Amino acid sequence: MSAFDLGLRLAAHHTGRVVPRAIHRLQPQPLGPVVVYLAADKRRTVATSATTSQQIPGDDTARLFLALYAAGFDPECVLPPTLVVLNRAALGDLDRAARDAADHRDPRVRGAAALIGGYTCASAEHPGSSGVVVALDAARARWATGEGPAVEQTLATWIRWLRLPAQPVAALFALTAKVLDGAAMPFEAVVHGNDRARHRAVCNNFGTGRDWRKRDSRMAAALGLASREHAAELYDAGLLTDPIYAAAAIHDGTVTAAVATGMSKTGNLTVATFASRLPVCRLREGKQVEVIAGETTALPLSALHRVVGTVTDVSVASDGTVMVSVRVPRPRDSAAQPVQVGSRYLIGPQRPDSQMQARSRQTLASRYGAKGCWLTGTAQPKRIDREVPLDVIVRAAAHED
Amino acid sequence: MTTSEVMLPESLTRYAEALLAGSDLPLAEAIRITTGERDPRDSTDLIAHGILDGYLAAARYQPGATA
Repeated sequence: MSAFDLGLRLAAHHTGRVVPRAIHRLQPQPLGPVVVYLAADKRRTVATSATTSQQIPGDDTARLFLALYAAGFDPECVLPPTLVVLNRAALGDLDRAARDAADHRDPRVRGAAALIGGYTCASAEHPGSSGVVVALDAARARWATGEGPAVEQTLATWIRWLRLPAQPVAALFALTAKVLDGAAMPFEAVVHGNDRARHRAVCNNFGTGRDWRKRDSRMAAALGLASREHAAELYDAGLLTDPIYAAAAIHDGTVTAAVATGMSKTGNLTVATFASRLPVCRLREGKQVEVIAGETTALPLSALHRVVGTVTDVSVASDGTVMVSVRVPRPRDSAAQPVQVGSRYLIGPQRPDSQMQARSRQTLASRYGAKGCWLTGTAQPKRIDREVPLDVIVRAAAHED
Repeated sequence: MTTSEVMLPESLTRYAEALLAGSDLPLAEAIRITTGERDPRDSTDLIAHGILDGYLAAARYQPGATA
């Protein structure tokens, strides 16, 4: 909840129309078939279009997974399917059903259950994945209504504000189409590649007859954690390339909007100083940042307008102005300046390198697979005591809340 | 539009009041800022700046908006 958010909501209320929170689509385009799953009144519905659906009694798990298999949840299928669910509770319900169906005698039922449990539910833990659309979450991430946040937890609110069809299945298909409208975020191709790899791994695993419900090995759990963390990093970085999300991030201090006030040269490096009037800033000494020329309204910008640097100092002047110093490399062209004094800049976290992420996962896999690794081996790790930086303690305390 | 003309739904009023609870800014002032009756640039209140920026972003990017 933020003041920026209230401004969006008041605008939506005054105009009677939804207000976008992002001009980009935050959900990647589907790679395979789009299937809607809805559970209501002790019945489950699997739909492949607004007019093609199967109604299944709530206790008939086999029929449910046969319907999903026919809709595209087939381990023999190359294309990863996209499942649309109303909320995370619906996904949890489907995950429980998949675990029940994993021992069914029909391989089609077992195959669809393996894909739901191993791919779709894991996709929900990878922000920005194309594997699942949690409709209410996706709508709230993309638009603000002129209501309080609690009211946005129902499909009826979005039917009203987005003028969707009243029938729930048709509404979910229409909502998905709206969610998928707009320009792609910067890392969509990377997300698609990662989704394909996870989908392939689940299908191959099913082919070997391995039980997907078995608890992950320590190595698989650690690599899965890295995969989720990398997906979250890409998603967060992608959000900051959107002008509306970036404008909101200025108010929580993730991005600092400032004017360049000076530059000094130290050897091959230049230290640029910026002044921000808004006294909210999360930048700390040593943080890797991107300095982007212009204002949020000019986003997204090409790489030509960005320079990567390291924060060397953050201080608050007596009049409340936040002063940020950033060390940036000097351009090869000695006549060019990395920063123009007097111009406006956005300073935000450095975006992740997706190739570095992939390499780091490969490195982790080879390290965890090596003999003698304390994480995957049987030996107990030795206890080592050392000082913990204050920042880490403060962040840990914040997570405790 | 004047403050008296702005009728918020109860859910949004509760939301706004909860947000403003940590601020010196009363709800009527927040509305005055968002409807342009008060210039938040005169204010050092962070919440005023946040509300105005959100409102302006909405006006800029809302489909069919001219801002």
